Amino acid sequence: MDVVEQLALAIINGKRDDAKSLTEKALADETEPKRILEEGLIYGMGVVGERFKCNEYYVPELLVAARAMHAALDVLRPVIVKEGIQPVGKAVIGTVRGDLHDIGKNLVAMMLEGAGFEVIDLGVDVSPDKFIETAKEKNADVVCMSALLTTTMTGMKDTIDAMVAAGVRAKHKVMIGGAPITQEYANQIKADGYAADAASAVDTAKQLLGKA
Amino acid sequence: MDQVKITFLPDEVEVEVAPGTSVLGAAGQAGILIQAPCGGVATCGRCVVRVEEGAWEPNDAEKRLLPADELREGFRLACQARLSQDVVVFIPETSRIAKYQILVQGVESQVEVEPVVRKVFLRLPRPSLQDLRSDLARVIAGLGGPPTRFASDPKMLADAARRIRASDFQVTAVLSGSEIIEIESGDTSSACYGVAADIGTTTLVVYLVRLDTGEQVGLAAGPNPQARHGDDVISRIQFAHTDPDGLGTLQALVRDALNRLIEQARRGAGVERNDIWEFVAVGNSCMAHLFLGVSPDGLGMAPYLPAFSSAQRAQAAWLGLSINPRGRVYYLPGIAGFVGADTVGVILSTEIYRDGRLRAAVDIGTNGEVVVARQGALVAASGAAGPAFEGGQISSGMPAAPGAIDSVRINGGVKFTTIADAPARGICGSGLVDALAELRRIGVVTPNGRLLDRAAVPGLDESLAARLLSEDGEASFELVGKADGAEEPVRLTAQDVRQLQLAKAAIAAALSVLLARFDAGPADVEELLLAGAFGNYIRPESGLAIGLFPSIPRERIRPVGNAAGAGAKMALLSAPLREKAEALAGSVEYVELADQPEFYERFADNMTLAPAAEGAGR
Repeated sequence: MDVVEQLALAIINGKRDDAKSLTEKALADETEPKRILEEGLIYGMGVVGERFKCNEYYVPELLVAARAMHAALDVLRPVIVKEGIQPVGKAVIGTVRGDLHDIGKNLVAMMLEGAGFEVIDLGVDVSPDKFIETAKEKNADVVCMSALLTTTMTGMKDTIDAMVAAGVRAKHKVMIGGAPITQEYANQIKADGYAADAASAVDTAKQLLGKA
Repeated sequence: MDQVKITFLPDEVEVEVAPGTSVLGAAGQAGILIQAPCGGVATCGRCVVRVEEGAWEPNDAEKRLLPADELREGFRLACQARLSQDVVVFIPETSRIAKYQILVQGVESQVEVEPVVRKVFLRLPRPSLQDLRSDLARVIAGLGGPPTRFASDPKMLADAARRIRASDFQVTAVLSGSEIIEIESGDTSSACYGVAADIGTTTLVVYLVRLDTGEQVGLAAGPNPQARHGDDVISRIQFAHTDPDGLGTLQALVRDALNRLIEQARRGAGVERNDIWEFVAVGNSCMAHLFLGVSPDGLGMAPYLPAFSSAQRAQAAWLGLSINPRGRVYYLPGIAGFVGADTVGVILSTEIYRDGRLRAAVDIGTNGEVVVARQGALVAASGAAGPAFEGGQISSGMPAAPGAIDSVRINGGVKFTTIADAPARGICGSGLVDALAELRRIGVVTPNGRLLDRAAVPGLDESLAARLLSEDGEASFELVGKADGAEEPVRLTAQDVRQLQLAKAAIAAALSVLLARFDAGPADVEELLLAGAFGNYIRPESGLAIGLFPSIPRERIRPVGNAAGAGAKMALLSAPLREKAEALAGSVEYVELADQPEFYERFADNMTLAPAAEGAGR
C-alpha cells in the first residue's frame, strides 16, 4: 500500500496524527499534490460518506474522520493554493437567523470539504444579508442553509426572497436541510435542492453544480 | 360557502366544518384527539387515517410518508387533507392520543402548613355608639394588625356589610398574604382548599389539598390537549406565532383541560368550587406562557428569551379557572430560557442543594432538564434530548400508554412486559432503554451504535439471530413478531438506535458540561435523582449500561417521582417555601448549551453506547 492509500485509510479510520504525518511524507516524496488530494483525502471521505449512507458510520465516526481530514488538509492547503488547484465548487454554509444548532451543519461542511469543495462556514444565527454578501464576495456556487426549528426555518424563505430582491438569485444555487425540512418545503420556497443528511448533501451539491 | 360534513369512525361522531379545514382540525372540533407530534408539518407520519368515503388524491407528503399499498387502501394523513366534500374517516387506535401512564406521586417531604392563602374565623365585637369603627376596620382589627397592614378592594367589600350582619358579626376572612380577598358569613374556616398543578408539555396533573391541614383530598391527571398542535414546545410556539388565534387556542385548550381535572378531583372529594381558593402551578417556560396567555415568540428563536421568568400572580377569574373566581393563581418562577418552574419545583422538593454533596437531577420528559448542585450552588440546563425517550421519532415508539412495552429482557428469548398488560403495540421510553441495553449486551448492537446483521454475529443463538431482519435496506431487530402473537410487529430499527444515541448523548453531554462547572466529572456524582415519569419507570441498570447515566454505583441513583408536582404542592402549602422557591430560582446559574464551545465535543464523545467509565463519556 503506498503512502496515498495509507492516507485514505488513516482518514477512514479517523487517525488524525497519522493523516498529518502521511500527508507530510507524501509531499516530501514529491507526490503530486492533486493526487494526494483526490486519491487520499477525497477518496477517503468518499468511503466515509458511503459507510454513513449504509448506516455503518454515524455522527461520531464522521467527526473523527473529518478531524483527520482537516489535519491532512491543513498540511496540504498551502501547496494546493500555490499550484492553483481549483476546488470542485465553492459553498457558503450557515444555520439561519434565530437558530443556534450547528452539529448537523458542521457535518455537512466537513463532508463538502472532504469532497473537494471550498467551504465558507458562517456559523449560526446567520441573517439573509450575511448569506448574500458572503456568497457574492466569495463568488459561491452554492448557498447551504440549515435550520432545526420550525420557528426558524422561515429564515430560509427570507434569504431566498432577499436574493430575488437583490437580483442575485440566479447567481447561486440554494440547498437546504435540517430536521423539520422536507422536499416539499424546498419546493415551496423554490430552493434548488434539499438533502436529508450530510452524506447525501454532497451528492446534491455536486448535482446542482452539474458535477454528479 | 356550504359547510362540509365529516363522519368519524368508529366513534360515529359527525361534525360540520368550513371547507379547507384539515381532518386533524375537524377531529379536534369533534373532541377526538389524533396524534400529531410534529404539529402537522408532515414529517412524522403519525396522523394516519383511513378514508372510507370521499377519498382525495394523495399529495406529495402523503406519497412520501405512506407506502403505496396503504395509499391504495385509502390511508391518508389527517394533517394534510383540506376538506372540500363530505367524507367518512376511520381513525385507527394507533393514531389516537391514548390515556397515558401518568406519574402522580412525588417524594413527599414534611412540610409545615402555613399557606399564603388561608381562612381566619373572627368573632367581631358588635358595633355601638362607643365603637364606631367601619366594618373593614373591625375585620382588620380582628386580624390583629395595624390598619395599613391589610389590603382590600371594593369588589371584595361589595357584599361585606350584609354578610357581616347576616351571621351576627361572626365572619371568616379569606386572606392571600396580607390581602383580604373575601369575607364570608359564619365559620367556613375548614372549607379552604387549594390546587397544585403540574402543567407538563405532555401530561397535566392536579392535586387538591386542604389548606388548613395540608391533607391531599383529590388527584386527577390527563394528557395535555395542546398536543394536537405539536408534541414539543417548538411546534406549539410556532403555532402560536403563525395562527392568528394560536395563542388563544392553546391557552383555552390547557385551561379547559385543567378545569376538567379540577372538577374531577373536587367532585370525587365532595368539595365545592367556591371553596377552592388558590391554584399554584409549575411547568416549563413555554407552558407558563401559554397558560397565562403570554406570547412565547421570544422562546422560538435564539437566544430563546422568555417574556418573563419571575413568579406570576393572577386572579382566577382572569384565567377562567374553575375555582372561586376571587381565588388567586400563583405560577412559580422559572430560571431562564426553557428551564422553567417545573425545574424549580424539582429543586424545591428534592432539596438537592441542601447537604453540600455533588448531586444531579435529571428530568427526561419532553424537554430534558438537568440540574447539578454542590455546596449550595446550583447550575441548570435544558438538554433538548428530543422526543426519542417518549417514543417519538422511533418507528415502533409510543408514549407510555396501555400496550406499550415498558421493560425488556433477553434471556433465552425476548421477554417483555407491557403497560396494563395489554397486547404489545409499540414500545415506550423505559422499554427502549432496556431493549438497547440488552441488544448491546448480546452483541447485536455495537458500542458505536451499529445494528449488526446475522452474518456479523455468528455465535448468536438461532432464535435471536432469526429476529435480525433487513427490509428495503433497513436493518431491524424484531422484539415482538406476528409469531409471538402481535398484530403488528414491534421492531427496533438501525435508525431507531441512532435516534436513541443522539438523545442519550444530549442528556449525558448536558450533565457533563454542568459537572465541569464544578471541576467534576460524571464519576464524581454522589447522587443522581431521576425526576418525571420516565425517571420512575426506567431501570437504572439499563441507563448505566448505555451510558445515559454517569457511571456511578446503582445505589446512588434514585427516582424521585413527580418532584415538580411535589414542589408545586409545597409552594401551595407553605409561604416560606414559596419564598424559598423564588430565592432558589434567582440563584440557579443557567447554562445555554448552544453557547458552550465544548458541548459539541462532549456530545460526540457521549454517543458511545457503553458505561461512561469505560472511556466512552467525558
